Amino acid sequence: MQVRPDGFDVTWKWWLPPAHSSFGDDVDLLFYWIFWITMLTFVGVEGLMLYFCFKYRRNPARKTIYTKGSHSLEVAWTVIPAVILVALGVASAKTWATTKDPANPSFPQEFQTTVKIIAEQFAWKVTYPGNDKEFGTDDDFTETNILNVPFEPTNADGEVITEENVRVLLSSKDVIHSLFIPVLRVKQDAVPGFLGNVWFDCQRATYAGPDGKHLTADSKYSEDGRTLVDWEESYEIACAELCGLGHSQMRMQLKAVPRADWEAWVKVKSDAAKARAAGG
Amino acid sequence: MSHPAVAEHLLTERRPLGAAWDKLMMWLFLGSDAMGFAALLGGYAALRFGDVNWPIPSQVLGINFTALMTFLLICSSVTMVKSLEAIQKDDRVGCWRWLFATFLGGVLFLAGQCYEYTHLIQHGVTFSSGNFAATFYCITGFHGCHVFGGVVLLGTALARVSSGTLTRHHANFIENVGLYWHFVDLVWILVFTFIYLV
Amino acid sequence: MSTTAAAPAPGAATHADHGAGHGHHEMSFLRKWVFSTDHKVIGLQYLFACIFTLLLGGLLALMVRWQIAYPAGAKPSAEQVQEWKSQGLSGAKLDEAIANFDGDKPFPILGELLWGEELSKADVNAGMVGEPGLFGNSNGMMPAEWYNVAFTMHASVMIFLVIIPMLTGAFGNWVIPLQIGAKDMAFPFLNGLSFWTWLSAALILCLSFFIDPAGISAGAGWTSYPPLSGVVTPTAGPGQTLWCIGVILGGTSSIMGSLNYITTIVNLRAPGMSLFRMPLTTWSAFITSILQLFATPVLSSAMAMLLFDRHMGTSFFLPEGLNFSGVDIPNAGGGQVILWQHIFWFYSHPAVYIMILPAMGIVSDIIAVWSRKPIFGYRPMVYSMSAIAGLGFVVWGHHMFQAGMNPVLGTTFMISTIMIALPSAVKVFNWLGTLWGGQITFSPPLLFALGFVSMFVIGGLSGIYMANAPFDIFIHDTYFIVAHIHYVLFTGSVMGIFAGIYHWYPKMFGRHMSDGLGKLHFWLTFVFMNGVFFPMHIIGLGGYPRRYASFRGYDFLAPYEGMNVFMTICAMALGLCQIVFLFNFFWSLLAGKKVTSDNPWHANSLEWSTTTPPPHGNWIGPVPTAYHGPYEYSHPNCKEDYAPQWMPMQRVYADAAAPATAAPGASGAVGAPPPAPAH
Repeated sequence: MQVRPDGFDVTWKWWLPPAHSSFGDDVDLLFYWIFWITMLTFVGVEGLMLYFCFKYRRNPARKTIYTKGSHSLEVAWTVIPAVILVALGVASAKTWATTKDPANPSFPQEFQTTVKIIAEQFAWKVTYPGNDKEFGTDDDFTETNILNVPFEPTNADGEVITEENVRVLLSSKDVIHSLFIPVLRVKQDAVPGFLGNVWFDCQRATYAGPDGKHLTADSKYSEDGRTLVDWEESYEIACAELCGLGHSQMRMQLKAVPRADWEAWVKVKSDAAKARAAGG
Repeated sequence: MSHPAVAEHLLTERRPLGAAWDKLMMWLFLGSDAMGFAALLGGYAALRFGDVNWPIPSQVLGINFTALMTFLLICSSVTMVKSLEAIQKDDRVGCWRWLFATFLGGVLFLAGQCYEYTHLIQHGVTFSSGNFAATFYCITGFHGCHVFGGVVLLGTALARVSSGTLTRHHANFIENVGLYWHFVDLVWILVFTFIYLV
Repeated sequence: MSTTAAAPAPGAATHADHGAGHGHHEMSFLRKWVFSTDHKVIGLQYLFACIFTLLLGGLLALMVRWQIAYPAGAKPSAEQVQEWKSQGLSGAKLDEAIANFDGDKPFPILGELLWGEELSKADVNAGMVGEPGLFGNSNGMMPAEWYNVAFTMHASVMIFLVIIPMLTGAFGNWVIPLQIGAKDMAFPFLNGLSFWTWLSAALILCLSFFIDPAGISAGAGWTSYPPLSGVVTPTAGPGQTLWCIGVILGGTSSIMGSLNYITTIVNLRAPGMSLFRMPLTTWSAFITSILQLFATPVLSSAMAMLLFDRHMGTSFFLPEGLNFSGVDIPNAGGGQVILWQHIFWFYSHPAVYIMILPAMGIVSDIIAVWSRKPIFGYRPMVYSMSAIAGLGFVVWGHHMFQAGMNPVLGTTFMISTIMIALPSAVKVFNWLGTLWGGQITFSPPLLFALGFVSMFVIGGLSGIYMANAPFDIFIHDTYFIVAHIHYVLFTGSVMGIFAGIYHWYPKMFGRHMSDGLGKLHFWLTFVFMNGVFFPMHIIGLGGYPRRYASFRGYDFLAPYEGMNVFMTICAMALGLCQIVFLFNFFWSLLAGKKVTSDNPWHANSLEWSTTTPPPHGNWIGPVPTAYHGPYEYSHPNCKEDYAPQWMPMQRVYADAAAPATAAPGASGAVGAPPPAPAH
């Protein structure tokens, strides 16, 4: 099992980034299974090849083994990998269903937060439903390249204390973009003409004490709600589908904060939007 | 000391399933071509079922006229068979007549298609007026190109028969043209069903 | 000679006449070398043209790598700033030093040639303008839009103009008739037409660089996902249109080639050459042709629809309400973006197998010859290639796990994709089985073949990560997939191509390539290609997205700068060491050691039975008869360690005693076998 790194800038430059979503560890576990299976195969096959190359290098004094194959060997090296691969497929199907299949029992029953992201060349427009949690009302507000969500607090054993599932409704107004959040193991294409959706939960707040879950009341959001400069840290979101000249510039910041902070921020933004709508 | 068996074998062509190589190639080509049509028809199905506002074909397209064209094409398949039969009996005149009937069927079909296109365009159904029209022109047009190719092939066969260079020994040429023509006919029945009727 | 009607085909009939009658004859240079219908000449035409396109594709790759390592806008490092501070700079002086810092590195030579003179940052800041280059003036640095062009065209050139034509066009053409004992292809004219169609496709693709003053060709990636490719924009301008046309033409050429190969293999095998006596190179060409025949028309249909969307006002792939930076796309409406991906990958996944199966066949033959062993598990090899091809048609959805597909469909595609690992593994095990107990000679062809096997293992195993839908979500469109595709196609297919060139060169040209240079070429290539492609796995695991013109601006990409520079240096070295190959190839044409035997490697398959280089019509006199399978090496009852297909086994024993009696069709090697392979 992967030990979740507890810092933001740990040594993952040579490896997977830390996984902060509830399914991130499952995904990584699959990776580790494949990693060890393929490593063993790799070492075995390459080792054998090098050994054969050395042992059976040209030597007229040695008698060549004349054989056209072996039925039992063929069966063995077909059946054994087949069993391993099927097992791998079954294990992966489980995680796949958790993350993608609404009919699966481990798929979230409820989404505490829903946001809508419409991608465009070359920015992410994130619409929050505002105080009333309904899209299409006066208090909706839209931010560019800022995705703020409540984080999901967990206890010391990694069990969820309060569920904070986030659903992102995703589309695009021009070309295909792809929402890629490395630390959450999330990637979903924003396809024009189609409102896709993807869900995640972020179990580690972007600013926090060492345990990642003690900040509630003394939150550092700025009173005017315009910026989140004081929420200094963020996870990076990239665009993973070629979308044109500025493809590499579609950077968005994900901030996962305690729900109280998040609601306070939403309220400020939402109230402002409502006021603007009333005034305009 | 060349092996007598080898010299004999040299000109023995393999005929798996009784297919000479030009016939085999025609079958392969038709298989490949069918994939091209399949891609277009698959795209058509996807677009149609993804669009609730798709028009009912019979309200836009003239079914009766096209049914007539379809009938024409089916008849031309029959005459194609007859022409092959004739050339196999070394009846060059009969072959020429049946071939000409087939040729005429193809030409009339193309003329009908031109008439249909003109009519539709005059009524505002153009290539760029939505996916219904675009898929319609794309698929029937692709098929029309095949009919045109067939007409050219038939014309070549006609010329060869009348000049006397195509005899009983070349029946496989007529057979291959026939294969192609039946394929074009078959595809049209699918196109007619999916695009006009359903 | 019987009637013309009974003769198999016009082409072959003529050859038979030649063989029986006046032998070689005057043919104009144009007919013989340019508009030839001889499969060997066409094969060589492909070979030479592909060596050229390989250079072009490689150059584009180097430009891509250069841009990734040294994107514009380099800033002084913290250490540099600290150094300036320690030198006493501060305030406005320090700001000026930072503003004038020139960390940009234009591509060597070509950078200035294409994008103008490189000026120092201070000069630029002072408003100076340098000499413009061929494609405009951006201070010698590649502009971002050109970066998109570079990787798009790199992939397109390598796929459509190098690997596919090299494997199916060059080797397929040259090897198939010789290996099955045919005098030529079934339709020699169609064969020539296929080459010329391909060449025009190549010219159109290359022309796309020159119809825009800034050299902007197609820039929407080789996958060309609409709407990016479906709407005329600077990213997908006129170059994209030419690209679509070029790909359609290339596909047409492929279809013509496959029709020919399948018909030839089915109908024109020499006496005794049953399907299961065919060498694996021919088997792989056969299976590949079937894939090509049925997959390519689908791509052509898709390309045609894309062209209509771009220029005829349709909207097959353009949904309602498209708006590019405030500009509405008038014809958009009702189209489906995902439809393109389904159709495209229905072709392009089989295309990946089109690009690897022929190399597998070539490598199988070479390993058997150079380890003096029958191929281990000949039939399992054939079945596994067929399985790969068959499965290849039902796995396309694995390119779309993140596009929003039905989860049940996703599971299906995941399982079918994982299963592809199975026949691939069977092949690798059988290659190991072939090496086991052999007499391995490390000639350049074998080295490249072993390189293929060992690297294909990496490419195959990394495929399992991607087949795994949940994990694929993370690595999709990162450098992990770039590593995977290059391990399969570069360190796989291209290794196979090199192996094939070294192996058949003596038969093709009647001269040997230099062994020493061949080995040098192998080791340099082997080391540097791993230097380029292996680190891609690592940065891919870190989430480094592909097709990024610049990593600047992302905290999580910053740590990879050093590794990217390393990969780029390796790539430049990899490019440079191909000079060894080019020199060896062309120099040996003129001055290589002349072959002394028609069968210098003591190989068994029929191409080694004829004279060197093979004459027009392939065999002077009748075609040989295949008396047994192609892999009878080191048969315990034979005196020699090989038993050519064109000799009955009994004859082989007899010949060992009395070598003087050779069949006329089977000259040279069998008559007087030298004691050891002449390599």
